[in-house]
Amino acid sequence: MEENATKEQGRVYEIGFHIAPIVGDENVAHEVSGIKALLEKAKVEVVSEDFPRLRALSYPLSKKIKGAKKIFTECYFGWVKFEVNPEAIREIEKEVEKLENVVRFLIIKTVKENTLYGAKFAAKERMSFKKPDVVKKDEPKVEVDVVEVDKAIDDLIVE
Amino acid sequence: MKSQQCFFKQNNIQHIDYKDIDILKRFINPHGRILAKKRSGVSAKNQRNLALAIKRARFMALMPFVAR
Repeated sequence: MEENATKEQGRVYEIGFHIAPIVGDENVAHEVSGIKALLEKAKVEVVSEDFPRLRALSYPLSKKIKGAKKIFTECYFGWVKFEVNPEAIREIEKEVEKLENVVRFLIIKTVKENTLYGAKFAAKERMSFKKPDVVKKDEPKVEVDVVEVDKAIDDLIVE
Repeated sequence: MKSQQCFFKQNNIQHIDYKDIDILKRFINPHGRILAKKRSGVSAKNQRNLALAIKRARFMALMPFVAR
């Protein structure tokens, strides 16, 4: 897809992951630092990241944690974009697989630049639903003579 | 000349991200299936990348495999 990386620079990859909700809000940072420690061991250069946020899943995910199968309908989803030598990526994958509280993860090739446009479009669409101004500028204003109108109404009533 | 149909070209989106659910949602039908390029109006190259992004989003449970 995007072959802009040279061998010395490494390639840009992204790991997206779901952390099990059983860890709780306060321990999410600890889990993330666990993942980042693995990445640092592989000598990566972090490009950008998003801290995991609890979100509902489209379908339940299951994972065996401490010998018991657990089913989750919501997870903390976060991602880290990083640059690394392509040879190290298999090793990272194997290490992340061993992490118990990572329910599911995905490593993809990507680009350094920001690739998220969704928020921008959501805002744009909200703007487009705004009602257009009712006043038309082109139409000439018609002066209404109140007395004349009253007279016309009276005439109609008499008839 | 025919005007530009492709959503991604119109909005100058170079890279289709699987995390961008707000955008991907436009290209699935109520059952969660990917719209054909005939219906989506997306260029052939972007349609391939779009399909890949939707499949990745499905794997990560950000989008449904089947709905309804």
